[in-house]
Amino acid sequence: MTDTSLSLLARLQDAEDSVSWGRFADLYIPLLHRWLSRYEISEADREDIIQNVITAASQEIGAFGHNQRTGDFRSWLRRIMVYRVQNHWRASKRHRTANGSDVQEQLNQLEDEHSEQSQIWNAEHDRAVVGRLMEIVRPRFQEQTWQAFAQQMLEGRNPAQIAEDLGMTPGAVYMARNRILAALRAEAEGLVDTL
Amino acid sequence: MSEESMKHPESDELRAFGLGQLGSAQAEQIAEHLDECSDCCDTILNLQDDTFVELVRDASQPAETVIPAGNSSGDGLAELPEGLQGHPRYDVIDVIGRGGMGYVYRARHRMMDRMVALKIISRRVMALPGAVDRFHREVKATAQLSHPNVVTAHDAEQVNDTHFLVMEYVDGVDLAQLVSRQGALPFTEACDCIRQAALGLQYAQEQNMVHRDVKPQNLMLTDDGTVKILDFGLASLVPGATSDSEGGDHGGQLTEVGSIVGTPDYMSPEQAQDAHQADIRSDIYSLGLTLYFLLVGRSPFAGLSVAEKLKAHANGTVDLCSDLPSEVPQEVIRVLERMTATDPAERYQEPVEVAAALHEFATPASDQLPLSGVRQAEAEPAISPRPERSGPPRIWRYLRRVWYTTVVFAALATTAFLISMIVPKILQASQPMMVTGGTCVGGDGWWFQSGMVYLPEGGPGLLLGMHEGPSGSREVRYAVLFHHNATPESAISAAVNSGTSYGGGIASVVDGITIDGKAVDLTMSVRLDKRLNKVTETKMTFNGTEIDYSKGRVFVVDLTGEEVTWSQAAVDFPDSVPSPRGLTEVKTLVPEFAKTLLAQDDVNELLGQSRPRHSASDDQLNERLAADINKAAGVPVEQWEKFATDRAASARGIIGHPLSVALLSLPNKGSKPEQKEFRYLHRTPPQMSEIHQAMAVSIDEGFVSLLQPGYIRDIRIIRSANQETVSDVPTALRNGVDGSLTLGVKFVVPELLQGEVECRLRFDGPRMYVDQFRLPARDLTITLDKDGNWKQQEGEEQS
Repeated sequence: MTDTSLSLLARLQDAEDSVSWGRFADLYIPLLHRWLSRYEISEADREDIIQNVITAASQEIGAFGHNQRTGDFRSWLRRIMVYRVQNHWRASKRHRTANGSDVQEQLNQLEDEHSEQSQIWNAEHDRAVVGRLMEIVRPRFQEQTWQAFAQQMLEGRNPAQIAEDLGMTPGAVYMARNRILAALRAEAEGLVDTL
Repeated sequence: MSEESMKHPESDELRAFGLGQLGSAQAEQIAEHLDECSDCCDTILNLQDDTFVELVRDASQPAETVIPAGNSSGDGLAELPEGLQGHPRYDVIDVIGRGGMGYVYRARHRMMDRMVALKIISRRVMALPGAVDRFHREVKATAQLSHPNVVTAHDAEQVNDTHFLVMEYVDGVDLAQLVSRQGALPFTEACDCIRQAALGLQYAQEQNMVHRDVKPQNLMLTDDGTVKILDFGLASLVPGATSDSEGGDHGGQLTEVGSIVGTPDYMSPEQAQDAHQADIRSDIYSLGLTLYFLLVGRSPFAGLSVAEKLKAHANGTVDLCSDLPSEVPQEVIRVLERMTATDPAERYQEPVEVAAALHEFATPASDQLPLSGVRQAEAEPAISPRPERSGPPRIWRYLRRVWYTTVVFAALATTAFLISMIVPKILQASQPMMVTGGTCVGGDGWWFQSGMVYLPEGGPGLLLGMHEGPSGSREVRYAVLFHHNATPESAISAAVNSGTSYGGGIASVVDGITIDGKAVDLTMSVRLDKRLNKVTETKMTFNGTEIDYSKGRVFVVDLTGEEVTWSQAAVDFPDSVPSPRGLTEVKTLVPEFAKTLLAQDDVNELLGQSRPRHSASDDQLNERLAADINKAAGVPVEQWEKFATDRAASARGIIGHPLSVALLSLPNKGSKPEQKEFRYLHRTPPQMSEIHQAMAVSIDEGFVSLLQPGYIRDIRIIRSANQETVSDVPTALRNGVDGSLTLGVKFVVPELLQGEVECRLRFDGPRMYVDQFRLPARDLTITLDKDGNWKQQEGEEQS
């Protein structure tokens, strides 16, 4: 990976279609899968919907300017997902099941930017993206550096202890924290709130 | 300590540092200071996270989301241990079993996007002294096992205080379920199941592992007829109780806390006395009783109490003969008796002997079972005969699968396929002289190159089998030179790359080709040591005969006589071994490699005086080769290049590969799709065998697999149920149409097939499928009826 200074969003925008496509799939399939599994949609239909959403997303991303507000893409993805699910239901007329009205209600909420459902979506989206970013970023660092970061930030261990265990100076352990957080911020720019 | 480093940074600098907002030069200075100043360290430690840092911390923790309502319908998911809900790596899908230890769940590994099984180890078991350590030790040992007949363990994991084993997900039934569903098995199938299990046990024994809990419940039969042993190592987890007595009906819990491990029905006498005495011969005993179970449909001890069972084992008072079906041959009965001898010394001493003894009676159960789900590596390819070749049917099966995804591109491709099946062989005058098996990714960084048959007119043909390891080291394992008189018309009449399969630590490459009407079958199976990332063993069979590799890896196959004969030469391979994907990309590699080989005297000697001479110039040959490769592989060269340079992509599938089909996406502007505007989403990487099948050319059937955008020349709208909203094809496909849309697709397969087909797309919500094909040239219409069958009729379309 040579373009480490660019954010993931920028790389997605610059990438050739097929590459952008693959990265999108990578990033968003797990999230969409999880989200859609809450609605009563068969596995096959769910996959169709996900494919639709991802195609649309990878097509549209080029149009997202750098001065868009952070979160716009996230909202856009949410709307396209809702749209596709509702389309699907209209077609299959299967929303009149026992839980149908609840689910319909949830979907309606999702259309509203400020609803609770949308907030949950935002949170899950950010989580999924950041989780994936960590996987993307990790190989760029030495394992020791990553460990210093992870034990400090994710496991909540004391940096002095970590320094001793890993044979680093305390300053280096903190440095690992700064470097990796900085890398994550750079990657996340535009996709989730980094400020 | 220098003055500089003692000067405390400003607090907002420290804050920016702690939150990862500082450039590296500034940060270095602060880090240096922190080495000396614990006060500033504390400041950072006590920093308030900002939203982003919170997110980072949060993203690594299990989510607190609830289980989707649709999934919790009383199938046990409601009892999903805390922490497994919304697990960061595993997306639990459903419950697939329940053992004495706890539930077994099917889950998807989110990032790898593969199915795994999660076996929960009950807290009761884990609470035993030393159990946690033992569990991790056992899983570590078990994870080294890699064999087609052993279910692979991936990992031991823990969330909160729940421990679980992550293992290969096997789509199939266990043998107890199978028998309860369909009764006793025909003895040939029973023999095959036991034979395969014996091979798995043999392998494990060679890795110093015994199972100690062999029973029908622990043997899984997959859809392709492979038997896989479950739960290696788990029996040792429970030193003071039975391991995993499946509910109450299989003998229940033993009350004595001795050292009894294993299920009473299948436990050997010595194991019942002292678990530590149990060696591989105990497993053979248990496997013997499992054979009885398969043949008769019940255990010989059904109905006895636990104590009676143990006594019967110990006294050898088990009558295994009276209830056996009469069709079971005497030899099989003798095998059974020897497996279950009370004295371990009288039994077979090694599982492989059992496998050998049963081999001639064994017939795989696979033919009776539908092909679906997980495809596993051939069971011990070197021993079992390879399955019958089945070119078109396999492709059909493949296409049915693609069909199911109901994608317009697949539909178009299939269209051409259908046409080619029913249109009389047209335009067949000149057939490609080249078949490529393509390059396959085996996973974990391994590549396998199956047959690349290069068959120039008037020159020796060449086929290569090779592999490349994750480090990039590559090796040609064999090269086959064909001495032939084939003409373009007679050349390769069928090719089945029934494919590479990669499962566990075994990869196999199967090539079946018919040249000039003569069949050549090659199988290479490779055993991998995944820890060392190296190939530890290679086996190869040629037309059913196992080949001794030490005698050389260049084969000359003579197709000029009545019989196919072959010889072998120990010649040096050229230094520069082409990469598997290089072979597909760089057109000159195969002929160059052929030339280097032919420069060797030994090879020339083998080919003999009648060696045909090249009749065309190198340039012509190369050009031809390039065209043929592209035609047969159907993957634009740039795509391969992209794939080759993007390792992240390769781990998940081939971006843009026709087989990663899922969707057709078209550019926003313009009404006429460009050939290369097809894009595909890969949900899961295609099976290697699928890639092979789709690339295979089968000329005698009159078709070339057509999942290739390059063959489509034009797409136009013929009619639409909703005329006014349909402006152009891309928009129509993207937005959908109310009702249906009929497209005319012109395609050309150079030198082989061309024509136009009309396909009617039916839109059903987000779903889109083709429900009618029409061949204007033949006035023929094929329609999908409401039962999902294709009906063919002459004349005008019926709507």
